[in-house]
Order: sequence, then C-alpha cells, then structure tokens
Amino acid sequence: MDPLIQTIGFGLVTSAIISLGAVGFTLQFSVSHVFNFAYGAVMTASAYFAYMVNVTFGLNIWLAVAAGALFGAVLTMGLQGGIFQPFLARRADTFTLLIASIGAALVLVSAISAIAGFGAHSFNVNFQVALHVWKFLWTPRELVIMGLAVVSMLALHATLRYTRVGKAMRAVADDADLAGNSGVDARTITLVAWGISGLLCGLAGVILALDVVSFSSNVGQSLLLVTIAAAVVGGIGEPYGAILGALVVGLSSELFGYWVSPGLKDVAAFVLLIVMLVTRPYGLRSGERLRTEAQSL
Amino acid sequence: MRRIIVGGLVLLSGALGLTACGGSGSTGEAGKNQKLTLGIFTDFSGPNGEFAIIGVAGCVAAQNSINANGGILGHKVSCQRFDAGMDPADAVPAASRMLSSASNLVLVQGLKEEVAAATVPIISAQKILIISTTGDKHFDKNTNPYFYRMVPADAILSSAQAYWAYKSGFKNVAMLYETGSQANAVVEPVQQGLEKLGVHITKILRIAPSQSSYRTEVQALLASHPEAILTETEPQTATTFFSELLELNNGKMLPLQGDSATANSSYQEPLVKAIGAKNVEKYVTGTTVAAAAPGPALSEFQHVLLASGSEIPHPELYKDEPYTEAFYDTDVVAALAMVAAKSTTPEKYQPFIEKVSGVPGGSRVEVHTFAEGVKELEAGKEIVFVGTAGPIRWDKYHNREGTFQALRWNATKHEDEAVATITPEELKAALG
Repeated sequence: MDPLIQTIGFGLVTSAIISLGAVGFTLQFSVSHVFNFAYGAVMTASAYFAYMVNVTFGLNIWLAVAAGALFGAVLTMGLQGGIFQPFLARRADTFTLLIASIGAALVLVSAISAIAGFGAHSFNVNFQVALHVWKFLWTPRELVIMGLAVVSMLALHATLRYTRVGKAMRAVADDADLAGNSGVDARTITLVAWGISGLLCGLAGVILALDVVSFSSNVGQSLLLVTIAAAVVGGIGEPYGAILGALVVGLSSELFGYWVSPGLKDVAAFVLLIVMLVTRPYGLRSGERLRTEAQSL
Repeated sequence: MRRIIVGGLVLLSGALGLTACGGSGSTGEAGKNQKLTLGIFTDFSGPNGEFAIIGVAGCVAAQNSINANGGILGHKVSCQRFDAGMDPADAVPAASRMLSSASNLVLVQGLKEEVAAATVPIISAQKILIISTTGDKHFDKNTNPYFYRMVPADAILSSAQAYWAYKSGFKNVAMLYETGSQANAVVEPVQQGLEKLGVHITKILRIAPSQSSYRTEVQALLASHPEAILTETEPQTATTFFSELLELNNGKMLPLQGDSATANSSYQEPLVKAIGAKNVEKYVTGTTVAAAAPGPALSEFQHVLLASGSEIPHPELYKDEPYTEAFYDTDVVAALAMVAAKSTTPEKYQPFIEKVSGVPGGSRVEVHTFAEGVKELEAGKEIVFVGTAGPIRWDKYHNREGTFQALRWNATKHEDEAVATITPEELKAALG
C-alpha cells in the first residue's frame, strides 16, 4: 500500500466536499457580488435539519441528505430575499453587504446553538470498513459522497450550458443591467441562482457533518474559509474554476499534512490563497477568461 | 473659577475612590449579620458554559451545609456566579467587575486554564483567597500566598496518564494530541513520563482540531504500529479521528488512553455513536483525579447536594462528579479556616487553610463536615478536615497532591467504572 497514493485518495474525498461548497459560494458571488459569510452558517443549519430528519424522525440518511440540501436552498433564498436583496436594490457597496452577511451568520449560528445546544450530534448511520478501490482506500459512504459531488457538478454544468435559466444566469453574471435590458428578469434569476447555490451549500453542509461523524454548531464555519480559498483559487465568480480550486486546495491540504505537518493542513489552503491573489488574482482559469473576453471584443 | 474646577476634581476623585473601596469591601471584616460571598469565577456564557454548573453544584451544596449549621461566625454564605468568559480579554474586565460589585467576597473559586494566569494576580492583589480548579502549569511552582489549587497540576495528571500506559503493559504507544497551547502543556510531561518508564513512543502526532478528515494522519499513525494510543482531543476531533481509524484498520480498534476529559460523558457518548459501545467499553479509558471514597464527608456532600434541587436542576447528576466534590471541599475548608481564625478577612484566615487540612494524625481531631469542624473548634481543639476524596494534602506550592483513577465507560449504565487506582506514592516511586 502506497501511503502517498492513499493520501491523494483521501484528498479527493475532501475535494469533493469542498467543491460542492465552493461552487455554490462562487455562483452566489457571480450573480450578485455578495461575499456571503453566512454561507457557513447555512451549511450548519442544513446539517442540523438533516439531523432532525434522520435522528428525530428516524428517516433514512440519504433522505435526510436530500432534505438538508433542500432546506439549504430555501434558507438561502430566504436570506437573499429578506436580507441581501433590499441592500442590492439600493446598490449597497460590497463592504455593507459583507457586514450584513457576517451579522446574518452570527444570528444563525447563535439561533442554532440556542435551539440545539453546544453539544455534539451524530447521524444514525452504520459503521463501514474501507474498501480497496485500485490503490485507494475508501468507504462506501465516501464513494457515494464523491459520486454525489460529480453528479451535482454535471447537473450544474448542464443547467448553465443547456437551459434558458442557466443562460440567463450567465448573462446576469456578466452584466445584470444589460441582461435586464435584454428582457431577462434579473431579480428572479438572481433568486434562482441563490436557490441552486443554497442547494449545493446545504448538500455540502450535510455531507460534511456526515463525514466528520460528530458535529456541533461550528461545523459549517470550520469549512467556510477553506471553501472561500477554493473559490478564490479557482477565480471568484467562476463555477468551473471553483471545481478546479477545490481539487487543488483539497489535495494540497492533504499532501501538506502528509509531507510537512498534520497540524498545519489548513495553512496549505491559505498559502495557496495568498499566492494566487498575488500572482493570478483572477484565479487558475484567468487565462481562459481573458481569452474569452478578448474574443468577445 | 480655577478653584471650582480643582474642587470639583477633588470631589470627583474622592467619590471614585469611595466607590472603588466600597465595592471591593471584601478585604475587611464583614459587618454583623452580613452575608459572605463565595464567588464562582468561570466561563458561564461560552461553548463550555454548560459545564460551569458542575462547580456551581458543589458550591451550593457547601453553602447549604454551612448555612444549615449556623453559617461562618454567624454569617450566612451565598454562592455567586461571575462570568469570566472564554479568554483573558473577557476575563480581565470581568474580574475587575467582580471585585467592584461583590460585597464581602471572601473566596473566589473556579478560574479555568484559559483565564487563570491573567486574573489570579488581579484578584490576589486585593488579598482575596483563590482556590482554583485549574491545572495550568503557571501555578506548578506557585509562590502566591493567596492562591491554592484543589486539583493536581496538569503535568502530574499527564505523568499519571503515562504511568497508566506503563501499568497496562504497553511497550509501544503513539501519542495523539491537538495543536494549541493547552495540549502543549501536557505533551511534554506525558512524553517524559513514557521515556522514564521505558515505553517506546512510535509516533507523536499533533493534529489541528475539528478538521473534516484525518485519514492521512490515521494512516501515518497506523503505519507506526502502536499497541495503544495516548490522547487528549476534543470530542468532535476524537469522533472523526477514531471512526476513520476504525474504517481504515479493518474495523479493529486500538486501546485509547485519555485524560480526565476522556472519562466524561460529553466525550464518551459521541464516541459511542462513532465507534460503537462495545469498542468504547473494551478499548477506551481515561485517567483522572480519583472520585470520592465512601465515608462521612461524601455522605454529607451527597445529602446536601441532593436536597438542593430547587437551586440545582437534577443534582443527582453531580453526586459522583470529582469537580463538584472539589468545589464543595474548597468551600468547607475555607469556611473552617475562617472559623479557626475567628475572622472572615482573607488575609487573616489564609494561614489557617493548611492548619485545618492536610494529613490526619497527631493531636488534630479528624472531622468530615463543617458542623463537626465547628463543634471541635469551639471546644478549643485543632482539627483536620478530611474531604470527599480523602485527606487534602498540599505541596509547598499550594497544589493539592492527588490520587488518580483509570476509568472505563459503561455504555449500558451511562457511567464510569474505575479499573485502576494510582496513588501519589506509586507515581513518585515510578517517576520520581
């Protein structure tokens, strides 16, 4: 057994979870330019909702995962409509939106702690032994997690590429005013984009809680910074870049832990973040983006 | 005009001075029939706030025992909670607020690791006695006369953890600790203890807490082939790490030997969900300060605690809790010292702390309750209070020397069971 190959395998599981979060985060940013710090709190809330479905109501874990993801979508749309849209309508600056998102995050996390307590929670799932898949070691649950991430990414790709809503989202992301003048209902499209992003956020939150086995009210916040790092590395506002960013951040964190020190795993993500901001501020896919812009000119 | 301004400033500073003196009127003798305050200064509002009740329960039990027997020199006592917050930035102003607001503050207890070093100097500068439950290494060589520690130092507990691995017969162990200053304080004594005892350390792994995965670290640990793992980790970190260890080790668990946190239900119950009750019962032990021994002190403690239901919800939860017992013993020792000194002034009763506690023997009469102690003191006798966990022995640094136990979780009964006892003599003989 080659420990390096196994580390890469573990990194792929981590990347799968980060990619769901990072793509959702970047999608929100692309259509509304909100750097949403309440994103981690929505992950947490979704995990607790799934916990309620699975443990309190005794339903199957995968039903709970789906319910948690849907809850993430509803909550995110609620936040968009109730908190961010009024600011966006007044064309509030980025800083105001950032502060509003931090406030929303604090309120959400405090509410979760007040309702569910500070203690640890675990889903009702059976123990699984890791299986050898080629030279990798993965449990069946981890295989499902990676599968879910791949399916979600393909579905998002299909939505953005082949549906009218997806094309409208891309138009709003490029220029909301121009899209509006061309007959696109930018407000509704923004809400739909936030809904899709919330779905991914909720899914990431529940899967993260499932993966860490025991979770508390800081579970989403613990992944938030890594998620943001992946989104920035991939180019903020670039859904495909976020997938690449998640892969780079997830793998480099595990490899950094393997080669340097396990206590400094997160450091790798932030070193990458800083290097990327200094050298390629538009992210890994900036070359492609610049080429596209040049062609359109 | 200038005279008016100067006069105003003089009056203002005088008023401020009076306010400061009046608020902290704790260093003088309490007035007749005035209540004495037993301050509990700990984190009530943070993530660990729910654990603060463990100490409050002990204080309330002591308060009710003391008040039911006439109080201290005629003064009733009252336990008051002061929220120290989670870190020194919160705790320092909180300590000042406590000193300025509490009347007749005769004792401060609690002061956890995170805040003790920053706040002890502030409190003891007012000549108020502190009996803490911190294991912080800052106090291992304490010379502050107003500071005592009712629990053994973390370093001693860590040595006991190393000794328990040796006593269990393990020759090769791995060490798994979180990063952070609190874990730093225990890694070194565990490592030194293991090396002294000739136990080989296969790997020392320091991990960041609350990560989404530890699979790479688990692989590295398993590759070092340890017979057991010595650990101190948060419950969330532990559940992620050990469930992944089970997954990657073909469903086989390794013995885990933890610290006092490991022997706590808040750690054990999530772990049961993560690795199964059978694995927890078979493989997981935690080394902690020995629980109370059956005797008159424990009987009185449990009797008054269980009768405190109107003040402490579900008091039965704390009847076997070592930290609740430590708070109770703290208050009784301080109360008896005040009676022996015939004074509620900390400066005057502080020298009597060691006179009413320690190892029984000689001409001193052994007492087990506040009532017994008062009776003997009023009869002109010298006393030694033997607390819920036995004699209260202090070293020259005012640290309590302790007996330790290795505890195993019984998932069916939802309680710990002692599997071994480690005495201070045994520990000294093995580790010097």
